[in-house]
Amino acid sequence: MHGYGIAQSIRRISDDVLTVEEGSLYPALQRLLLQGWVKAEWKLTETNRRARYYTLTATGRKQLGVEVLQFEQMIAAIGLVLAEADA
Amino acid sequence: MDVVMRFFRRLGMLLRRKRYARELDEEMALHRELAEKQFVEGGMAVDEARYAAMRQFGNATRLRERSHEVVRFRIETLVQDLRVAARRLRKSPGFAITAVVSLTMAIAANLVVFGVMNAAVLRPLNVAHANRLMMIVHKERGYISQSYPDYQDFRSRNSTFSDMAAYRIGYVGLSTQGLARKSWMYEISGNYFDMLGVRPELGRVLHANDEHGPNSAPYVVLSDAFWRAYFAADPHVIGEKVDLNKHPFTIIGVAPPAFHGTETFLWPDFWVPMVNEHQLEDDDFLTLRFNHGIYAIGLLKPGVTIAQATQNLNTIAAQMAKQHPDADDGLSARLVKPGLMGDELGPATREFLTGILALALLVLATACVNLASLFAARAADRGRELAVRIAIGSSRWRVLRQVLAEAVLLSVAGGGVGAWVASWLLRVLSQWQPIAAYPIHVSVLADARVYGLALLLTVASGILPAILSARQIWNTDAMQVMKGTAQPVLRKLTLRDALLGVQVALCALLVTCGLVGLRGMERQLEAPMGFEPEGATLVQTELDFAGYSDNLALPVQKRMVEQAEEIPGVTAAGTINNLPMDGGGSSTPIYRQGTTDFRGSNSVAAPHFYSVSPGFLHAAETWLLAGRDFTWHDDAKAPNVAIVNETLAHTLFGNAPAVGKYFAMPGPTIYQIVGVVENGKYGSLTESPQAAMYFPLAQSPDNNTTLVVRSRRTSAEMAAALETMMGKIDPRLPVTIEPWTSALALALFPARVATVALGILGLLAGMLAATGIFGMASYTVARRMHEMGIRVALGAQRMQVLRAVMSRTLLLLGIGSVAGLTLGILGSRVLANVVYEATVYDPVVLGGAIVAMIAIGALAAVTPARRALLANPAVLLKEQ
Repeated sequence: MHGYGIAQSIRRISDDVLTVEEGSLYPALQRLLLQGWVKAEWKLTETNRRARYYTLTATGRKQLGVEVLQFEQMIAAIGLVLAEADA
Repeated sequence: MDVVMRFFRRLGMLLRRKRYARELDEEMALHRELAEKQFVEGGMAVDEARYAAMRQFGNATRLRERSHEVVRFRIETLVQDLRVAARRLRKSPGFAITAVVSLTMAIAANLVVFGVMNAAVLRPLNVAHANRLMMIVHKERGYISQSYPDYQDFRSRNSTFSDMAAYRIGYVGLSTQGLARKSWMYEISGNYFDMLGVRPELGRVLHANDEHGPNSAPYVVLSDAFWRAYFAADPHVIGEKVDLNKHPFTIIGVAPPAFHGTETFLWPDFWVPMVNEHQLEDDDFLTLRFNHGIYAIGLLKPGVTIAQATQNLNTIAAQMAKQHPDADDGLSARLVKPGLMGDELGPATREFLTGILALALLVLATACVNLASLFAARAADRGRELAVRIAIGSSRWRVLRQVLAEAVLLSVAGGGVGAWVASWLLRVLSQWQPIAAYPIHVSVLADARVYGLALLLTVASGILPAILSARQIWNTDAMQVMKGTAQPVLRKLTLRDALLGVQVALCALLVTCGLVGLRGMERQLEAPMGFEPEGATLVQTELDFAGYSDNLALPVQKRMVEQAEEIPGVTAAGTINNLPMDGGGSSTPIYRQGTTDFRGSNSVAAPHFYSVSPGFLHAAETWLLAGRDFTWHDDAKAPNVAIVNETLAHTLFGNAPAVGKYFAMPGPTIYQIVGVVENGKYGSLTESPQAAMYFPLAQSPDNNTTLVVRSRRTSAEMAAALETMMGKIDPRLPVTIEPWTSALALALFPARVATVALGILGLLAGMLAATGIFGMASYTVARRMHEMGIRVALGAQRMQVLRAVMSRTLLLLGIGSVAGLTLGILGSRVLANVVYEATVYDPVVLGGAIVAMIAIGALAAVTPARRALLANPAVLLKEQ
């Protein structure tokens, strides 16, 4: 997907809760490129415009797994703390 | 692996920066278009939609920058900072040049001193296994020479050394054809080069198997420098013959350029075998066990400690004492590091260099403080600019980075130029021969250690200004500063005041040191030496170059004295074999009359002794206190006589008159004392009172000859007359004629070096500090002009205001001076190591220092004060 598409998808899927500022999107994409977790290709869109399409690499996929795991652990931990507070 | 890939990716992105920027622009443009389209689809007008999209997207430039920031190397920011700093420094050249010059001088001074220290003290000799090389000396301090038979016994009987070698320093007349040229040599044992692992540059070196007994090895190994100078680096010189004191020797090789023998400061022109010493020096010490004229060095076996080896040698020494009680009684052994004449030069050199290094570091400290206060002043000036930048959102860290960049640039420039100047100075120094008469070279070594120090000093010198700037920036309250120049000039001490105080103290300290050095030198030169060099001319000649051995020399010497006395204007003339304080000379033990056992421990004294002709004492103005001078009748057929000095007379006979009494020397030979002379200096200016005695030339022949002529004429006239006289006596004799005062160069050399070093450092420091003080003081006063303007406008008297403004500065000057002088007094111990008889409790020194400080302070205060007094209050008010 290209940059705009990524921003739109995030907004749509999260029901407008999460918005990615363009100002943070592109630097973030640069960082991902630098780390080698995504790769970019210039392709044509449906309307015949040139756009850069980003795809996850193999290492990127692995890193995604790691990040998801860490995120889930964090959620669980917060949940526990809140449960304690409740009780 | 990750990091490496990341690095390359970064590199790639950066290298294709333009294309990358274009691509990003394209991407962003598309993003905006799509957003625009979406807005239009949602019902907005086309124009509105475009603006909405642009707004949503945000600041495009900022975005570009941020994206770039993610990718770029940190070093790019550094380069940018440096470029800005360079530009800013170029705009204030006065500041930049002052800073760089003072740093350069200070760092160069430190590097030069350290370079000498490196070669003389820290680095071992330039030979193989230098860390295991030791010199074998006696237990008694200053007794470093051995005899050849003793050396041979030590060598053959020890179990702790892998090998031992011997060497002796002397000079000969070298000639290829015609006149002999005085050249310096090492006489060495055959295994010298092999033990030290020295490989020849050309030909071969001496080996142990070249020696087959006395006078068996007429070979010469040239030093590289001598080969280049005298033989023009001719490769066919191998196999050529040269005459050494009229005896033919064959050149067998040239030593490598980096090898200069085993003494750090004395470099020989060539090496010859010790077994041939009879030909070379007309001496015969190979079999004389009591003649201590050589130096012995040895290579410890790997794993053997110094303590073990010392014990081993002392055991052998005890054996030798039993076997040869007359010569070796009391023999002992001690190991010292070779290179600095055992401990004759070692401790003195080390202490001197350490003292000088300490002073040089002080000079550097002064330069750093200078730099720091310059920075502080500059930063204060830029207070508004910094405040504004902080106010509009620059991080303090960025601002600091830029100021640090300036400090870094200056210190790197100062360090770089300083290192370059230092390496040039070191090169000049290593080619310098301070005393033409001796092969003394100041060896210096500019190796990794020296450059490491340069780096360290550079970094260190940048730290203080950096810290100060950081402190100032962090404390800047942007609002306050921008509101106006109403900086309350409070009574409390600012950092700049403290810096000024420190500078003053350092200046006072260094001025004190400089004065102490100068006074010490002055005092040294005034010390009574037991002779009067002023008004005396020396004629030095080498009778052995023309073939006059000891026994044949007497008639020539007598003729020299008698003909010199006939020259108009001459009041006295006489010869001596070794001039006092000329680096040579010998001493020998004497015994009471009636002694039969001439063991060393039975001796009553070991005075210096000289062979003099009649008339010498008068020519040298060594005053006779009792008795008479020698006459030509005191010859080989007459009874043995001697003249002693006061110290020796006192040692032998207490307060009783010594004239007419006797003493004995091994033989036994009895000497009658016919005269007593005043005490003097015989070895060095700093020695304690020594015993000395004189023998008549006719009874104690020696072909070493120096003719001393006292006259009322100028040295030029005397030189001409004496040269003619010597030409008539024997035109083959090489003569050197000079005033005695010039010849004392060797004795006064250490004192001169010390004075020059102290003088230069003191002057340097004085200049640095004075500049600093001047700058700081006038700056401080200038800052308060505004306040002064207000006061004067409100009706205060100018003098009153001036006093108020100057009071702080003058107070600082006063306190700083006192502090510096106190430090100087406390540090006089250190100075005493550097300069003989250096003491701070000298009215000239203290008075001089005080006067100097007052002068500097007055100068520093006067200029801004005048400006303030003469200025218009309106102008003062406007100044910020």
